[in-house]
Amino acid sequence: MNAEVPPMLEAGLSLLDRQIVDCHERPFAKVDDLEIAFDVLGHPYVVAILCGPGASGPRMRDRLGTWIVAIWQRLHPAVDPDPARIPMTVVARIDSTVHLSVDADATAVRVLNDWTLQHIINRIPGADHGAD
Amino acid sequence: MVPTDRRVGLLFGQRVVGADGTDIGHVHDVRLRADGPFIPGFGPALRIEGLVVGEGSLATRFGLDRADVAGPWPLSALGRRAARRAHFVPWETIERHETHITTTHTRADVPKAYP
Repeated sequence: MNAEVPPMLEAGLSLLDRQIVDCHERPFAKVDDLEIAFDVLGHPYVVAILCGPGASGPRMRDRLGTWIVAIWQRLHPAVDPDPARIPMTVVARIDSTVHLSVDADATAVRVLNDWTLQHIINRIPGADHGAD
Repeated sequence: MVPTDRRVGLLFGQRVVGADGTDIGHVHDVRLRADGPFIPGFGPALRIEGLVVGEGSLATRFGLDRADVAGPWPLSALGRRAARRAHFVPWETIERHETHITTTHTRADVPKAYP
């Protein structure tokens, strides 16, 4: 079954910075950028949604964005990290929110969230006293 | 890393220059149409049809530069005015450079974004 998508939309208005929810309607990420590929005729089309600092930082086009990407690259375990990527194959509907057909745990964003929790949030003093 | 020429977000804000060297404006949005190659589970891919290009304005900064913007009349009037001035630059006519985008259209013959 095809995704429910308007026949025409504008990326900035209808996609970028929109909330992404999984198949249980749980919000877990935002659309930070879109990755394109080119067909045999050279026409570009959207193949994936990109999430995380590696996708949002370059969009800022200023020193803050450069710092965000630099810090993200420095902290990331990979030598040349890529932003978390959600392929369009798992997008089920686009309205005011982007709905996926899969669980958040099945996406690369979950890996990013786990990494952030493990390497940043859990290292903040008092992070282990959540229930207090 | 995903190459910069494969990221839609990096098109935003780029200056667009016409064939005669005149400034047309900056990229305000990227228009997508669901008629691209078939993606399993998604259907026809969202193909980039072209760029919505306009001058910088208060309405643009607030995201009001749409033909169908609704709201209190001063804001909707401001938005509609900005939308009337916006141009649509078809993807087939553009060439991307490091610092700007050129189009084979001139400012005079580039169509309106919201006719």
